This record gives sequence, structure tokens and C-alpha cells, in this order.
Amino acid sequence: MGFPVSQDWRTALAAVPEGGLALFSPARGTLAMRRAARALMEDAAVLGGGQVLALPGGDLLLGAQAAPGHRAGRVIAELTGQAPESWILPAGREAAEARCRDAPPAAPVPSLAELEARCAAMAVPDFARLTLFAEGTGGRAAAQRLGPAQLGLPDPELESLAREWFCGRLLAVLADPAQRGLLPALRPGLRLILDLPRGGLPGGLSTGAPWRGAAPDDPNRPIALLPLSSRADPARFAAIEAGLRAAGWTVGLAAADARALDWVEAPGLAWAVPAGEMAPRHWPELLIALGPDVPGWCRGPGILREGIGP
Amino acid sequence: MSLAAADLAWDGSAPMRDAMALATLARECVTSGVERRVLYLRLSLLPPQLREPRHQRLVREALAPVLRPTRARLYELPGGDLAALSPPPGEHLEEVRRSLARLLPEIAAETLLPRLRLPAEAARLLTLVEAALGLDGAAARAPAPAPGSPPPSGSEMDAALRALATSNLTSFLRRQTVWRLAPGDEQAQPVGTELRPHLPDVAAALLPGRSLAAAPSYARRFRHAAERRMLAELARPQEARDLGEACLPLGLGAVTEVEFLRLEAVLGPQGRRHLVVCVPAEELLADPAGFALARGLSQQRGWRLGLDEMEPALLPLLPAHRLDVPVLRLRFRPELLSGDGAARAAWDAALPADRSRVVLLGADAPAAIAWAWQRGITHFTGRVLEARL
Repeated sequence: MGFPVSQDWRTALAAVPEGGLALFSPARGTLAMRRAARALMEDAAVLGGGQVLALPGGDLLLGAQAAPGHRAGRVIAELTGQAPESWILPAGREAAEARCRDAPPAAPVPSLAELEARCAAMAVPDFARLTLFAEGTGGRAAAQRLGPAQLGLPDPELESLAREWFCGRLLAVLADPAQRGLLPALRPGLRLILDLPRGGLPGGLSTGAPWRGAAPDDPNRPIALLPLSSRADPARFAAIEAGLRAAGWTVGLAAADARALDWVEAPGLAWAVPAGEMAPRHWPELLIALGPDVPGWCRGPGILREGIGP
Repeated sequence: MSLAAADLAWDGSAPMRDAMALATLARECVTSGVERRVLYLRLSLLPPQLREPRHQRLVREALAPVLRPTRARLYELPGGDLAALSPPPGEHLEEVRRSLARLLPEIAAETLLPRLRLPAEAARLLTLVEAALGLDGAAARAPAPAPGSPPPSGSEMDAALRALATSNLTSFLRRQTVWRLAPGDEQAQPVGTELRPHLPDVAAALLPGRSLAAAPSYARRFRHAAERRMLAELARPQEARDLGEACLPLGLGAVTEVEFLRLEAVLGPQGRRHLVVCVPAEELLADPAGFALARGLSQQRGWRLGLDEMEPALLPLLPAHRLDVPVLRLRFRPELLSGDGAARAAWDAALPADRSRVVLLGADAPAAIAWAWQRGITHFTGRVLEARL
């Protein structure tokens, strides 16, 4: 037995019987996450005699029996790391309605050509980011990362293409003394972390200032961050890594998910990952913990942590 | 590969066993540093008129001195090659070589009767063994890369993707059997079916004269669109009911597409238990968060998510003790046989302890099956097994 099918959230919420659940999953994260959330909600709707409504902004609303609804919410939270909001009806009906009313409109996903044009048109100060890092338990800035801005696109492939383009432009600006002034000013004395495109440094750049390499035992060797995907070609990666090391760099991998750190064998490499609540099982040589507020376990030796104000 | 050579793998025939034993011994010499002298008889090079029984008898007689003192061991290899191994100094090998050279003056002794020293020349010996196993022939048969056709333009690509979105791919669907074959089995048993759209044919139909190989990101998008169509067709209730033990090699993006999610919903808990989805290992590196999501989803929903097209070079990067997957589809490459001791140790250490999770892809030569059996791997796809039907 189902509820009357409705295209409107007001009637959908009104149709949920007393004690039922309204589950609201906002359009966050990647498209893959949103589709998985929708599939789980549809499943709960089939079991719990309800329906799923996709709001214009991409948010999802499920009205169903409480048990399958709660279960769907728990699984969505586990898979995407973001718990949907839920209200027991009818008590929570007003709150649920307000949430649906205030849902923001959807941001369109750019096509490949649009993204390329957008990245090419962005001014240097708009995509070049300088962030500061503290080391160990200290509170002072110890390192600085010059890297590309994240666009927050819901498609990881587009995001990594944008990173490639931005990193290429960063290198071109660094190599050109006339343009270097457009970059955020590097702090003298802080260790440099530089994001590189998949291909690493072009030959001429590896020895020039201000990113000159250092002796192998220098604790302040600059760190070159390559995308994790560059390891898909082990021979090429080994050549790039050897070239960077010979030029006095520490080599690191940048990954969009900290679980990669546990999965991928990377002896001798630094890792830059968004720091989650749980510490990794496998500790890299050097961990660069990313994120606006890194958790407490990041205050330890061998960790550079983001989130130091300028 | 001739059918005769293919048959060698089946009965675990003497030449096959000898070839694997010789390869193993060559590697052990490298690890332990034990010295051996080898006389290799490339009798497979002889023209047919010199391979009659009476010639073989003459060769055997010439070999008698090395066999008598039991100080040398003779290995009979597939294809008719022989290898005699002796501890140094191995004068009797020289003696035999001289008489054989007199007997077979048609081919220069340096080519026909190479002398090798182990461990220094282990790699050369392994190359000769591989040639005898027909591995070099397998490599030569691989399809030639498309002669430099240009990649499609952006608008051609858009048009092809639009056409793909509404096309019916039933005639491009390719089914390949996954086989189980253990040492001692008389017959390979089918254990599942692999389904995928045959992309080269689809691309040839929709993008004639264009090469997707030249544009990896376009190739990925094309694959993604083709897979979505295939999944939409498989998700029809009739098709889904008949799916059975299926392996779907999919791009990571397709696993969280609407079409796949519909298919796994239609399959229900029972059908999902028989479903294996494998994504390319390199897509895990490109999108670890997407892989984690797909993995979590598979665990919640009761289907299995494995890794596809694992190249030997990538295997040590993603060892099983780091990332435990229920199915690992490993691509067979000749370097699995010829790699040095360190590489081989790294590969073996990276394989899952439960070898029934490993499927060896491209088992096109008996040597591939022999390699797998040495490691307890018994699941295969490839020409050697297809040819048996």
C-alpha cells in the first residue's frame, strides 16, 4: 500500500502517516554520492510505502515509514559522511517544510569546454592559493603551500582536470619574473609545498629560485605534490620522482580522500590528504593534513597541519 | 599458438613441467648465487627435413656423454628445444656441443647451441624458455595499434555521445566466459560470464576514422556512455532475471550511475549476491573517494566490487594486505615470468592470500596457466581456454 504519488513536497509530507519519517538529503558532495543517496532512499520508499521527491536544487526528500527511513539515513551517512536531516511527522512537519522551502537552486555542472574556458579566464589571484601549515605540536607557521583553488565541482574528473590546468598555469607564472608578482607573496623561511601537474616540473624550472631544492638531509626541503593519479603509470612516476629528488625536492602525493593513504603503498613519499576524524592506519613518512579545522590527532611529529591564520 | 602447444597446459605434460622447472631453477640460481653451466639446444629452429626421427636419434646419441655421468640434467621443452644443465666447469657440455655442431652444420652453433652461465645469464635463459613456450609468439599476435587516425573533435564527440545515449547496444554486447581450471582438472568449468559493450566496434560505428586512443578523457567518456546504455538494457526485468553469475567490468563513474543503481535494485538481494563489478585499478587512483563510495555501497547492498585490469606493474602499489577486494582481475604479462627476483617477490606478496579471488586475464599461452598454477590461481579468461570449446 503506497501513498498517493505527488510532485509537491507539501502533499508528500502530508501523506506520511503519524509516526512516519521525513528524510531530507541536501545536494552536497559529488553527483555519485547524491545518486547513491537517492537509490537508498528509493529503496526505503519501496519498503516503507513512501516516495522520494527530487527538489529543484537537487535535494532529496523522502517521506516513509520510520524504520526503513531511519535505516536509509544511517546508510547514507555512513557512505557519504554526511547525515541527512530527519524529522518525525507530524511533529516535525513545519521544520521539514521550512527546509524544503529554503532549499537553494541547483548550481549547473559545467561541460568540459565551459570548464576549460572558465579556468583559462580566471585571474591568477583567483586560483592561486597560499595556505599556512604548523608542524607537530607547535602553533607557529612552519610551511606554506602554493596550490590551486578548489572549485568544488560535483564531478571528480572535472575537478582533477581543473587542477591540472591551474597547476600548469601556476608553473608558467612562477617561471615568468614579470608575472610572479601576481602570486600571493611567499613567506621567507617557511618550507614550501608546491602543487604540480601530473607531469611534474618542466626541466628548466627545477633549479630556479624561489623553489630551489636543498640538500638531502635538509629538513626544510621543498615538497612537490603530485596527484595520486600520476601513480597509475609507475615507470613515468618513478622517472618524475627521481628527477625531483635529484633537484632537491621531497616528493608527495595529493589525494582527495584519506582512505587512499591506507590502500596505496607509497614508500618514502609524503601524503597530502583531507584529515578525517580517524587517524590513518598506515603512517606515511610525512603527512600533510588538509582542511579548515584539522582534528586533534594531527598535532604530532611528522605532520604538517593546515589551518593557521595568516 | 598451435593447438598442440595449447594442449600442453592441460595434461601438465613433461615438456611443460620441465619448462617451469627450468625457469624456477634459473631464478633460484639468481637468489642463491649457485653457478651452473647451460647448453641450450634450439632444435625448434631446425628446418622440418632435419627433424625426422633419425635426426632426433642422432642428437640423442650425441647427448649421451652428458647424461651418463648423471652430473648434468636434461630439460625437454615445448617445441622440441632441449637444455642441459651442469655444475661448472662442465667440460662434457663442451664436448657434446662440438659433436652436435658437427652433426648440424646448417645453422651457426652460436645461434643453434648457445652456451649460458647461471646466474649471470639467467635472464637470457628465461627469454629462451619463454620463446619455447610460445610467449613471444603471443606478443606478436596482439592487434597492431590503429594507424595514426586523429582523435575526434569536441563536436564529433558530442554527436557520438548523443547518438550513444539513445542507441541499442544489444548487438555490441560481448559475453566472455570466466573459467575455473585447477591442476589435474580434465575440463575447464565455466564459473561466470563477463559482459561488456565491445567498445572498438561501437567506436568504429559511431566515430569512423577517429581514434579514441589518442584522447584518454574522451575514451573514458565514451566508455561511460556505452556502459550506461548496456546497463539500461540489462536492467530490464527479463534481462536482469537471466543475468546469473555475472561480472560487469565497468568504469568507476558508471557504478554510481542511475542505470547501474536501477539494475542492482531490480536484481534484489538474491540477484546481487551473484553480481561482481570490477573497476579499473587506475580509476581508484584517480578518484579514491568515488571508489570508497562504490565499495561502501557494494558492502551495504550485497554485491562484490573488485579491481579490473590490474597490471603487474600496478600490483605492488595496491597490495591485498592494504586493500582487500573480493575479486582481483590481474592481466597476464610476460614479465610475470621474466621479472627479476625482487619484482617476483613483490608480485607474490601483493596477491590476496585467498587465491580464489584472483582471475588471470589474457591467459593466452599455456605458460600463463602454468604461472598461475604455481601460485594457486585457478580462474582464467583467455584464448587458451576459449579454444578448448
